[in-house]
Amino acid sequence: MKITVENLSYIYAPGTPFEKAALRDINFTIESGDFVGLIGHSGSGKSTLVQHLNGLVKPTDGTIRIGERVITGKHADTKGLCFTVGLVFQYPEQQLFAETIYQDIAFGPSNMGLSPAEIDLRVRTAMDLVGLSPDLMEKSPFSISGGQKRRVAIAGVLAMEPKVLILDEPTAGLDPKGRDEILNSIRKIHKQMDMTVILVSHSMEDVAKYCDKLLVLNEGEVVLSGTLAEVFHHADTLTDIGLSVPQVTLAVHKLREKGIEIAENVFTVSEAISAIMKLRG
Amino acid sequence: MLKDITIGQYYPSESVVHKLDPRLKIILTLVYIVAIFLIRNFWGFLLLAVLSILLCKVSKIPVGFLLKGLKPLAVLMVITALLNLFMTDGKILWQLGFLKITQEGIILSAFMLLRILFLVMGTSFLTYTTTPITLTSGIESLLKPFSKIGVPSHEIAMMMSIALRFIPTLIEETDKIMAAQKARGAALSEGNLIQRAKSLIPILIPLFVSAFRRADELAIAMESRCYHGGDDRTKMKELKYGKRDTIALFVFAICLTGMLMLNLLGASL
Repeated sequence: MKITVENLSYIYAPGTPFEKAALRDINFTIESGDFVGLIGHSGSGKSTLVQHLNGLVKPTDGTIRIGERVITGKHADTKGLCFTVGLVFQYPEQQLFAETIYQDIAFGPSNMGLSPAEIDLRVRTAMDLVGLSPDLMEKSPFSISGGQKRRVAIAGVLAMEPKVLILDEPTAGLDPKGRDEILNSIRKIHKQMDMTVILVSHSMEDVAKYCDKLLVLNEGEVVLSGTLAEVFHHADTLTDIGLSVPQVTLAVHKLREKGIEIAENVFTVSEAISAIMKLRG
Repeated sequence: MLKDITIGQYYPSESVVHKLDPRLKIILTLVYIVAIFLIRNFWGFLLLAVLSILLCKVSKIPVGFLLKGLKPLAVLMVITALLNLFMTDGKILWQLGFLKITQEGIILSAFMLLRILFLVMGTSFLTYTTTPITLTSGIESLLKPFSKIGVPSHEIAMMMSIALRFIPTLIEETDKIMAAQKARGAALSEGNLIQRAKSLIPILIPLFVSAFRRADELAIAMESRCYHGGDDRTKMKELKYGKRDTIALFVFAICLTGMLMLNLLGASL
């Protein structure tokens, strides 16, 4: 589903000493089926921005369109929006509450008013998508490991079968294995369910590996946007705002500066390997 | 919505009131609470209103911010006012069945309303202008003499500072959990009373889980820094009573006298 954001601004706590312009004149378009990485420092407004997209936060100014729906302004059409735009919060395992994993994942679908049979089907599909074994269904969500809890929480959003899936730092605090597993699941879901995915992250390596397009946020403003190649071309701008390009990309840039004719747009280790192999003929 | 709760919050600003000795502020607040119940007529409240606005200006707290803190108490205030309005005996002005409005009732309910209003507003100044750490440091210092008769002054102060410290954290956490459950389509303010109570479960359970987790983490963090209670602990910032505090005390005393003098104008109660 296409997402259009025009002149979006958000002022936090206006009229108090805590007042702060969290977002300033944000403009971007995300095409249907894109896998977009939203990167920026902590405090750059990433989380605030994504909460606008499912109607949880109302902008101070500006327009947001999700597909054909305008979700801002006086005639905002936000009914059931959270079922269309699924948002997985940071540390989503902290919102688990039900007695069993099954009930927790079923919370979203039952709020949609679906039939028990449909709910059952969706819970099972969602558990399968995130790689949770069906044996866990009747277990308490508080008795499983941190990585599994996070999968349960993601499944809870997936079970609503949203058209747009937004994940706010889904890998924060996970070990490398857990991180790869979660991100691989998300890639699989993106392909299988034909969802538009927005991945909020500050790991350049992660977004380089999984996303097609990037949106870079700094102090509430969009500083760069476009394909991986377009964004990573501006290595200096990224460094200026305290971010960086992936380390392999940096290494390849250095090699090119030394006059080695290696392919330019290399963002992952496996791409680097094939580029080097090509050099050797 | 939860952001509106300002009771117990600190309002950062550079003002004379912020810099006063917390012990003085605590004692003056206690005297103020007693003084409110000594007011006998509306002139007293008028003076109090003027003084409150002046205090706002001096401590650089917007009046609107102060009034916003009253919002959560609106229900309590309305109930108090209604009870006093209908349940006071006296000269009957209007009657319907067992409900009656008397002249005394109107005055009494207005009085009660003003009392609660100024009670909350006045005491809010203490927390608005004092950081939780200075506040508990002041309480600890004031309770010190009682430790001879077994009052655990340091422990009380520590418990209070932890509780105060976690009010904003828990509010923030509640906001976050509410947003997360709303993102899953939770209907928080729909349906009848039972449905509403039920819809609180997805918020309260994660909140309790996280509160216990935080308590656990805090205990470990304190123990790993060898915390063992108040014995022999020194302070980085000693409380100092200065000239500024003496001046504040005199100003307060003058205002208090003025307020009590106004009682001579006659009691409306």
